[in-house]
Amino acid sequence: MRIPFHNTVARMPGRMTAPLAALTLAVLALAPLAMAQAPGTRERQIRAALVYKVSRFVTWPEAAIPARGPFTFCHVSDDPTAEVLAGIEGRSIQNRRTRMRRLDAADARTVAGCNLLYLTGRSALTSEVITASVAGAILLVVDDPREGAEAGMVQLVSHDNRMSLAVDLALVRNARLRIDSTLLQLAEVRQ
Amino acid sequence: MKHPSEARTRTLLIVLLATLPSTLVHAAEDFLDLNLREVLDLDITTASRKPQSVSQAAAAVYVITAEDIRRSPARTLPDLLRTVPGLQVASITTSTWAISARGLNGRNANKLQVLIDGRSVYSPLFGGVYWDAQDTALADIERIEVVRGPGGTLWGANAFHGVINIITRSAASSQGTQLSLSGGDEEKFAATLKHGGQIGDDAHYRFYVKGFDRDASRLASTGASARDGWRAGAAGARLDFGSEESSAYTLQGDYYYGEAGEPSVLNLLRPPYRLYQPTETHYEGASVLGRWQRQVGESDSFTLQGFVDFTRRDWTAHTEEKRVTWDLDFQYHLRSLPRNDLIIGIGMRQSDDSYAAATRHIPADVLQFVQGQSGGGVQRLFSLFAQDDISLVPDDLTLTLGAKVEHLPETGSEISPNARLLWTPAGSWSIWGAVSRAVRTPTRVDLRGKVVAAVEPPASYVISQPEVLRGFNQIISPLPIVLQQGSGRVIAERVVSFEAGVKHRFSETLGVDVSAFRNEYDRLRTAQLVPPLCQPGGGTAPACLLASPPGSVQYLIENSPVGNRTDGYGQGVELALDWMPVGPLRLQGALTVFKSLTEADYAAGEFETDRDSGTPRTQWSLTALWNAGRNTDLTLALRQVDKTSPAIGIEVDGYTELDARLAWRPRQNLELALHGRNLLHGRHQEYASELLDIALTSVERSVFGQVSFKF
Repeated sequence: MRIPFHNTVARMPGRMTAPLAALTLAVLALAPLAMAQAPGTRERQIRAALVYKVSRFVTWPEAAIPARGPFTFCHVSDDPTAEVLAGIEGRSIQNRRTRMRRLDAADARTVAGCNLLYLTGRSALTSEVITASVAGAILLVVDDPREGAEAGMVQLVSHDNRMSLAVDLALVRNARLRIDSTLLQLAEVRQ
Repeated sequence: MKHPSEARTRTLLIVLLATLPSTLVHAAEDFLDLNLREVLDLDITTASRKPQSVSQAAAAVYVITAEDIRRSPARTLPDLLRTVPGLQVASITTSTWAISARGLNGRNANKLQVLIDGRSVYSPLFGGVYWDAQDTALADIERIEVVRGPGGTLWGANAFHGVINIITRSAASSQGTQLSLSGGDEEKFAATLKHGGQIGDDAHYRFYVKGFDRDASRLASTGASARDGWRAGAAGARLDFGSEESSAYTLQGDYYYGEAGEPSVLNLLRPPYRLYQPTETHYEGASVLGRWQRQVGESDSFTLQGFVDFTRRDWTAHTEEKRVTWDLDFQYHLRSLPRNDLIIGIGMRQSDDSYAAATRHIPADVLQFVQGQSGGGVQRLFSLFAQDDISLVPDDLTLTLGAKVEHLPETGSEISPNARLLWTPAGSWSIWGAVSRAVRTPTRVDLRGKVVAAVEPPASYVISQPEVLRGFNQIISPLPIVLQQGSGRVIAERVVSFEAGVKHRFSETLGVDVSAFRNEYDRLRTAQLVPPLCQPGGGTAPACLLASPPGSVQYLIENSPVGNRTDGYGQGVELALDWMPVGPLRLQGALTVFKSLTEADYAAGEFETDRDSGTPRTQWSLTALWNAGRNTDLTLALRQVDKTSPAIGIEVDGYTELDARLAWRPRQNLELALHGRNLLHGRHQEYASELLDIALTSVERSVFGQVSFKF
């Protein structure tokens, strides 16, 4: 981009205003209309991305996942959340293709065959589901547990306009799961 | 002849209309491709803009975020740095700045390490940074970390007073297309086009192209144009592939080209001896960087990084420089030892250069500033470092011990140890202290070659051009006298720095960060006045003048040997404030109070080559960010800098200035902004080159508009 040097003492270049104005009008006329997002979509997207990222730092025991089968990602969620989680379908977790499975409710029967269970929007977590998860090496991820309520293995906590993670390491170990220390560095570890 | 900017605009309009999508679909954002840290850094509600949580670093760190950059009235990297506490940014011409932290600033300030994505950008010729060549798409910057204080171990050489680390976004987090155009009076025209996309599941790329044309500033003496207009272009691309959980790879490349005018003052051995004549610097460069990060076992990782950097700079009357720099760095991060977080690293850098006289469009007998550097050379630097964060009391008290060894074959090895203590008694408090030693390894000019600082006319000669600086007029000589420096050798300069700081979050809306420091200097560079020599003929003046036949001696030469005989101190306090008095308003304040005193052995005729008086005693800035409505925001940045004396005989008054930015987003992906810079005065002076090679210029008030849209 070689531009010949010339000595200009330019003020507001009148020649620039007309093209720039025309440009602005052209853009305003042709620019795509903004797709208004449903309130809370961004937060759901961040949570979905966080669960997906977390799953990438966890190792499941060989026996828990069928050799050539899919990785089963189960969730209990409302419609907007399910729509956002659908983006994970087909992506790779534990070197296997992810299959999303939406559950109406979580109990010992419905969670059979899941590798990861994500309970959104503070759905109640029962001790029955916890026992089934530990036995079946299911990674239990919950949103913002209430004070005193069961908190699962990994919690997504929102604080100060950011998401953060908390991990119940003992429960994770009981389920024969292993979490990479890279993730533990960034999470609050609750013993 | 058509005005060149018209042709440019037309081309851009065509490009724009051709790339506008024909459908009205706007892709929804998802964050599934970001890495874990990036997802944890996302704001849940972008409208809320809560301040950052208290930093966990045992150092004086200030971070300029991508959001700060978006809201800032500044459009160049140096201008973005003006509101950082402890950092001094002073404009010399449209394309040159004097930037340093904690003192000893100057056009060729060599006390700061500057990195762009891990690539060191200081020039081994003088140790300073050519700020005109450091450019990237501002929207691609994820954050700029400014660490004041000796960077010590982790970063490359010469983190003497601090480190500026410019980190660009990963390709995955800069997807989509964005075009921004601006036009105005000083910022005549600028355009940036960037695009990011994906290849398959695991690879992301982005690239950018930018160009601009900036108007000349004005001469301080006559008010005429300083002929320092600046036109430049840059382009870059980045490819990220692999995954953070196993192996991640990055490949980056950049290219830049520019032409910048300079209101030069040239040196001659015949009348007028000091000649004001505008010249033009042409510079060009490219770099390629590759990085490989890999997880090892459960908790460890390593990073291997290499880059190659080519630059060519035709700096009229100074030197024409060609340089190739190779760098290879390896770092291993060991986390498996309980309570220890250890990083060890090894690096090597080699720089091949060649120099020639730069004589474009100037009289053939002008004395070049850089002498004796013809031909070229090779410079190598080896470094080895280790740093351990030891958790003495988990979550409360951390001790960091580190050391770096730098080896330059010409001058040997220097060790820079540092120790830091961080106490975090509660989530809202962070108290730290540090002791570190750092060195500034000798530059090319320090080791070989000479510099012609100026020619002083004979006492009887009257300089008629008002643009010429008369800084050296204390020297009275019947003949012209050439002031040259460089015989002898400069070895590494040293500093021991004692620092402490407190960061406290009073409430969700008020946070304060205070740091204090004392730098003890040793072996700073000096030059020494010696009896001048007669040329031709030799012999020392005044004896040689009396002994020679009248008229046979044509000029004198003051050949100052250089050495390391300055010591002294620098000390100061830096404060940063972040306050949200009411919901939509946020105030960011910075205050710096500083003093330095460095002295050589004046009785022996020695003088320090870096000036104390080039740094202001105080400076402050206050930035107000007001979210006026859902789609409108206003930024006002008020800043004040105390008076300075950047060169011998040159005094620059203190000044206060205001920058502003008003932005409106009528659509989600369209932003219109009006920028005003230096609004309080028609023009004002900020600095001068300590080499007295540039006529004094003043920065003018500037207003420009910017249109940005995303596809």
